[in-house]
Amino acid sequence: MEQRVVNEKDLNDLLVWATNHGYVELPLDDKVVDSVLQSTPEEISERVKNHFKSRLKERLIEEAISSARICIPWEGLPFGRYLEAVRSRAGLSREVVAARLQKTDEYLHRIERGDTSPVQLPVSEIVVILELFHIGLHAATQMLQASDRVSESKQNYRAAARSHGGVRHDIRSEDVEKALDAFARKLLKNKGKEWQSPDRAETAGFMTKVETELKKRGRSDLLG
Amino acid sequence: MDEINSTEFLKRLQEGSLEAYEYLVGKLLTPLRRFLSHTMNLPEPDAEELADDVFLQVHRKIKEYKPGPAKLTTWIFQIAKNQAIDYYRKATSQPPVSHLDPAKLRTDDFQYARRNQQMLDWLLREMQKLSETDQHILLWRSRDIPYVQIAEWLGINETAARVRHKRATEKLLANGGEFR
Repeated sequence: MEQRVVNEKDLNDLLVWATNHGYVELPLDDKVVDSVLQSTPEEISERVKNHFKSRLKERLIEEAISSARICIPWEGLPFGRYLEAVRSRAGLSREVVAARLQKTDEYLHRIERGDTSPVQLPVSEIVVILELFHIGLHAATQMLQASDRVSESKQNYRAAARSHGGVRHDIRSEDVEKALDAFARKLLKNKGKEWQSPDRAETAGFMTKVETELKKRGRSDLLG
Repeated sequence: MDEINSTEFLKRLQEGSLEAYEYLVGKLLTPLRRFLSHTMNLPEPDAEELADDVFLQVHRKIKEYKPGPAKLTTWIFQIAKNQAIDYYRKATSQPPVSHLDPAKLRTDDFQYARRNQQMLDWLLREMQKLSETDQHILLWRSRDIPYVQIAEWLGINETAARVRHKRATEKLLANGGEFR
């Protein structure tokens, strides 16, 4: 190999390389950054900025949900209540998550509350929810089955409550509805294995379609 | 930028306010992209993507930021600089030295097998012998920052910046710089 003598151009190239790769620290301090911010470069259009803002907002929502779901065990929880727990833990309002799903606040509220059974929704909509909350097929199936059981249980209590002069469930407050949910789950748990209501064929059939949709979307990470 | 560097705004960022992050994008997207493409020499599409990642990193690390040593805006630009460094480290290929024609070596062809590692070691060693001001002048001039701007950052006059740059370069090149 021939000998190589460093000249001024080489020196500059070497300095650039060394700073690009972190071997030499580029001196970024307040003075440098302030002058960068004060210089008036050509502005990016509002349309492009808004695109970046939307994209960042989506990513922040996904990150918040991703961090929150680690702290919320899904076992035994109805599907809607799980979504609500994760959303709440992530510090996100229902409006923000609904907007991310491109749905209304009321749509998400009905799912969280259990008023809309997930199996009544189009498969594509449930899959979007599973993707956002990163819920695998097994967990989703278990939670939908839990939703079915709690829902059946609550039906009986509602009927009993109305016959004793209680209010209809659709005008019952959120707190009372949540308490009723938790009560129903607890009673189911106490009844033990001999009282497992049969898992609905409707749910099983629905989940088969969900599985197909996940495969179509290449979401093998959610098939477990 | 005073609002961004305020305690109140920092608190909103640390609380995860989406509106605060949107405001940050509105104010810093243009200068960050420009810094990444013009100062850190990233190709435009990569600068655009990296600028996006900078805001995500800010969100992840915001609780680590402590006011005092540097403004929040400076801290954010340092994140951008580090993102650029990561980009270059991933992008560098390592062709064998013997396949390189020394006459055709360019910045992005530099790979640090035996000879180029010697060059890097030499540079790091010789830079340490220079004053901090001279090091800064060399580093910023290598990125074509005008003397007048460098002088302002360092609190010296433009002529002094030019003279010091010339002398520092001559000193480095006089101290060896022959490699096999």
